[in-house]
Amino acid sequence: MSDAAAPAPAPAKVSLAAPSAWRRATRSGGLVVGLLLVIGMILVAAFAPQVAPYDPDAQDVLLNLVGPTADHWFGTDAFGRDVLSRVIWGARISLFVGFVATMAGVVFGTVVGVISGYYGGKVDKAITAATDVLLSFPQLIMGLMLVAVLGPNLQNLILAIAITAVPAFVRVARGSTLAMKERDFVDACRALGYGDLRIMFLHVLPNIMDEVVVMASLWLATAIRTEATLSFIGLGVPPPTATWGGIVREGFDNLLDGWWLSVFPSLAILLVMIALNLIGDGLRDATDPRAPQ
Amino acid sequence: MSAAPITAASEALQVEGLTTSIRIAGHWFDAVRDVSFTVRQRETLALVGESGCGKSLTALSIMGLLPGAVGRVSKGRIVVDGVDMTAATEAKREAMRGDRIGMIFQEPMTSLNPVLPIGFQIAEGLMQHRGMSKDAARKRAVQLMELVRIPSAADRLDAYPHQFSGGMRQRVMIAMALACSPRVLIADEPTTALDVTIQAQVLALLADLQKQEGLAVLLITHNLGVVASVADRVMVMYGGDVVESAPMRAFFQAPTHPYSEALLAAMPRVDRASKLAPIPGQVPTLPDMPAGCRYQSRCPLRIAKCAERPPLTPLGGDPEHGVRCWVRAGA
Amino acid sequence: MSENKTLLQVRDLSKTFLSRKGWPVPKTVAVRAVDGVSFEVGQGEALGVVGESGCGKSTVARLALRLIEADGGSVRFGDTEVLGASKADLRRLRRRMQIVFQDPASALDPRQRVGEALGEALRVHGLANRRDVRTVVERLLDEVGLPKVAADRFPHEFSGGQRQRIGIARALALGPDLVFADEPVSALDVSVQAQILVLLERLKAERNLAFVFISHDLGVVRHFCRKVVVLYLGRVVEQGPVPDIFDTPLHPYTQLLKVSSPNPDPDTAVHMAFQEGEPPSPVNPPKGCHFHPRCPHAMDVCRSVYPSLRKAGDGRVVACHLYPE
Repeated sequence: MSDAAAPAPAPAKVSLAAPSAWRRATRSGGLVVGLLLVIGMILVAAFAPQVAPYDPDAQDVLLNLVGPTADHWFGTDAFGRDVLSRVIWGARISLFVGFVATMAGVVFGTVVGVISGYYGGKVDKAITAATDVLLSFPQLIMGLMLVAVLGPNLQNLILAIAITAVPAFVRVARGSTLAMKERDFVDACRALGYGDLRIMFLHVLPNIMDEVVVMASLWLATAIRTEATLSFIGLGVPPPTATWGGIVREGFDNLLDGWWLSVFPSLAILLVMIALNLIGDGLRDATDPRAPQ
Repeated sequence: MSAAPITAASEALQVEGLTTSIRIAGHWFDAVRDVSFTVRQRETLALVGESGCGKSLTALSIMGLLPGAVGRVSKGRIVVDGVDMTAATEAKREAMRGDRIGMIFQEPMTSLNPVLPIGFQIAEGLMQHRGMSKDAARKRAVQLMELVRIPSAADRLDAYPHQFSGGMRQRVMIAMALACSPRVLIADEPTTALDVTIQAQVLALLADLQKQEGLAVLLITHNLGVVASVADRVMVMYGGDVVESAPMRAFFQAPTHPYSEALLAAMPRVDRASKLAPIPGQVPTLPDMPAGCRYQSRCPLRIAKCAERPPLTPLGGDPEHGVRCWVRAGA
Repeated sequence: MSENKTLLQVRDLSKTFLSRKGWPVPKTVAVRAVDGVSFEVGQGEALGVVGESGCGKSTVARLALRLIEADGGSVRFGDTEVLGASKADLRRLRRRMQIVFQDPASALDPRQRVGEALGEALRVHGLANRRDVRTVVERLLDEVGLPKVAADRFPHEFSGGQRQRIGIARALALGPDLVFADEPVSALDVSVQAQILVLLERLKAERNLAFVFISHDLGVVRHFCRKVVVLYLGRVVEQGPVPDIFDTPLHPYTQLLKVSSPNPDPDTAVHMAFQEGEPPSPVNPPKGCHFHPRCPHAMDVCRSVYPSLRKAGDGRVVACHLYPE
């Protein structure tokens, strides 16, 4: 069997290797732009104390409702607080809530989804039924109900948003797990005597992460939007803590006196939505084998 | 259905010096090299070889169905029923496809549209190429389904592909390919996806239809057993080259190219216990193909001269039997 | 070691799949995929299981390995009853019974390097410690004819034949006595198919491995196996030694399979004048002998009574009314 000793055909003159997922993803540029934007925003939020020109809560009654100037790029609000500083500090809360809530939803939803898909039968039926019930509520209404019941504070806000994210990830993970179960390697693992936990989390999970990550990036946008919406209607983090939704809300009260109050925080929200959707689309194209080369 | 009149030239399909290139990682490689053959009426020519040998690319080149971005006919002439396909406009080629030249594929499920009734799918070609009315085309569709021996054809005209078994779907595909009474039928692994007993039925059907309709059949297959059952002539391909070309019986009596011999010795037989001799190694990828004879990297008879490409040389005494090998052609 | 010592004994194995089909009101449909199948495999012996798609041949392997649960019957491996085995017993049995799949691309975890895949099996069963794993993995790769560097590559970097070698190496990792080979060469080109068959033969001899070799290709089974079981719609129709069954098939279905099998010889080419007919759906098998609608010898009794398996010479049985009980 000397023949078989030959290693896999080594690309000699020309590389025949399919372009890596990363190369495919970055070819369109959307993913790169989105990532740069999001990373930039995270950095700004993280270094808010250094970056923000003023204390976001410092009031200056003499300088209230001043439009954008060289000193106050985004203007000041009714209490004379610097809007730019508030938007920067608000990014901390808004991004934090979005990331933590999404992560929690992803982890819990994916684990439940993998279990549901892997075991099938009664477990699957019960989980699917529960998921369907949760999905039948519009996601915003559900967040609203949960916060209303639990009470508006940071923890509960995160919990509520995480719970709204769970059913979507249960679905994605379950569907992908079912597709993986069709592949013989799952049976091969069982025949080799591997435990169910090992198969689910060391073999199935890594193979479905592509779909989960794409979904997560899109859900991050939804989570941030939900936080903003809940804050806007007064069910978010209580004032005076700056969050994007809260700043828009405050500006909304004085909208006729100063357009900048709501417009700049809204733009921040818009920008992060666009960036996250660029990332999601880029990742999807990169991981979808049917995507045009 | 009467046999087609044999007024036209008996060469239904002529391929001369066909070279087809495909693009890999931005470079073009010859995946079919200088292939020439003719298929006459009532004749079956089998194109045999393993995956990647270029047999399916040859078929797609003839049909003009190469995916433009990654495949192109770079040299050669293809003449179907007197019409030069390589020089024809795309509109002309489209008119030829399905009319003068039909094709059936390996996978009858994916080749049929799942949401259209099969009667409509058969009739569609007739309406397009022959300008038949809907009623006339439907009537003809029933005849065609009877021709390919689909039981209770009239009742199943409005059935959908998923209501048919694999063998029946392949019959539908054959009926579609034959709808406009083409002169040439290209069958690309037509029975590979079928169970053996169904394969035998479909092969028998193809052989009968060929006689009735006077078809020229280009059969593409990896299975030498299928070749022995239905072919008149055989061409063995390796790495895009035709390495041996012979009348079917002569081929099985005296396979001459080292690759043909090896292929036969690697096939387990159902009629007797056999000792298997595997071919060492694997087919090189196109960028790694050796210059000269492409089989040399696996050939036990390799000599220095193999670095040059051998011509397809007729063997002594039989002009029909050619082999592309310096050693075996005795040069 | 004696070849005759029975390793695997399958008795009356049965499995019915239920599925809900139809629209708008789905109905539950029962498919008798495996219906009272019995056979034995001795140590170091290769048993072929042949039949066409839907005959239940792959299901038999999965039932015997408990990848799916059987409805009835028994599977004895050595002294252990597999179907009733506890989790711990089953784990021990896993080391002795393995499986090789048809499509090696789907049988390997695409995210796992070859070395990790083989090493994992060894570590899970405590067959090698962290330091020895690499050595054992390299020995396994060498045994199936792959270079050591294969351990550091991912499955997609290999050709189909090489991937099948990896699948075989993984099955061998636990040192089994029996391998279920489910169409192991069907997805491969002729020349590669021969390479894998020769490899399996060598392993069979060197390791005294027994095989349940599932295939639709009679030529491959004739080459590799000593005994053969012919299945039709979930039932055994004929069983016996390979040369006898292939030279003088008794059951009309086995005869049909034989004459339909392509042979690279124009004088024994596919017999094409055989009657028309489709394999009936396993959802609704015909009454009596399942084969009677396609059988040229069908008699009245065939339409009502399923023929029991009857002895037909040395080690042969056939389920057909043409032969006396």
